[in-house]
Amino acid sequence: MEKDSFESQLRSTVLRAELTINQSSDKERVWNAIHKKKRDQRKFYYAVAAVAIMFFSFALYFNQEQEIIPIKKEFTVKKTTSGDSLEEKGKQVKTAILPSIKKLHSITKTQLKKETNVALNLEKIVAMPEQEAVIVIKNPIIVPVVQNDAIVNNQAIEPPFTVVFKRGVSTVNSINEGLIYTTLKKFKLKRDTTYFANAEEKQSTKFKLSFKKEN
Amino acid sequence: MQIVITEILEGCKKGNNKAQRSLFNLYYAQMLNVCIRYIKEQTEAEDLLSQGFTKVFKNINRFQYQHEYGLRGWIKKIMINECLMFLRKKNNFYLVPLSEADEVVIDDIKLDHIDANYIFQCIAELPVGYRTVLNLYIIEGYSHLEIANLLNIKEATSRSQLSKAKEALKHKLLPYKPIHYGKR
Repeated sequence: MEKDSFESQLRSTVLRAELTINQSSDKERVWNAIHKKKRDQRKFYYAVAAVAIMFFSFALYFNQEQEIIPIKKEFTVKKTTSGDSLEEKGKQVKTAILPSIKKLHSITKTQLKKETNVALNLEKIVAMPEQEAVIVIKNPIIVPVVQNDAIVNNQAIEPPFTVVFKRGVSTVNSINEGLIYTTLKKFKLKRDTTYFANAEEKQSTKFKLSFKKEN
Repeated sequence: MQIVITEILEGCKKGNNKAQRSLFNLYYAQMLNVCIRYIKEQTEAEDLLSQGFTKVFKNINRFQYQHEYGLRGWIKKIMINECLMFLRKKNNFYLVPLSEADEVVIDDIKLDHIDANYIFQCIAELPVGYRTVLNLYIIEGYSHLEIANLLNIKEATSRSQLSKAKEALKHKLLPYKPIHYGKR
């Protein structure tokens, strides 16, 4: 809509005056108010960051609690009425899983011996009353030694490096070491070099292994 | 001037306090005038100004500088939005019923001889509904449809409010007598 003469005059006068009129006002008060808002915003961000850090710390703490890895059901030991001690039960579980571990070793020796040897240190086996038997693997040390030329010909990854493993159903009919092993197979490691893999961090579904050369 | 403004803008984008203060100094008076056109109370206008500048500093990274008018227009738009939000929140967005408006129609008057401060004062004294529609339509150049959407009123209401606002303003401006300084 076209503006009439009064509207045009008013518009130009006001817009011109807007640039020149200097209203008496408390400029510093306005500036301080802006700064106060900025400070308040900063405080809010700090508070959010603090809450996030706390939440993250709690999450880490509870994940540490989940270091215990349940074994397959066939190794489950229920509480017996015979009144066996926990040590006894532990021995029973150890005996129960030994064939599987031997089987794993035999697989390692026959099918995979040219590629890598895997050793796993099981620190202790614990059976808890009224619960599934569990195997506590503390810092499992896996020493893969590459002897396969086919692997060596591929580009080697220089350690140290860290790999995240996903927990899941074992493919070697054993506990997680099977999965670890099959994952390790995919790595391209240098010939005649021994690597140590140390568990660094364990979460509910994943755990990290860091690899370094043997000194 | 352009180089100075681009430097100030760059500083503001980095959160530099001095640059922010420079931008504030540059546009403080102009934007205060804008806020006072919408909000009669000066302290409220100043509060809105501080809120507006906070938003300017917060969102300045999104602003693409092309020329000074663009920057001024962008800041002005933020200030106007702040004022409109305030008016809506305060819920005093009442529009004067048409029957109450002055019915006497005044022919166009010349504004050349009228002091700009006085015009500002007269606009500020208009009822909030008149003032807002008049500011948005005549000064800012919004269409009636846009004003209707902004204020949540009918387009026809915006038209009639503008017509009455103009008449009311003319009534206020008519008795103006310029002050002549000099020998008596």
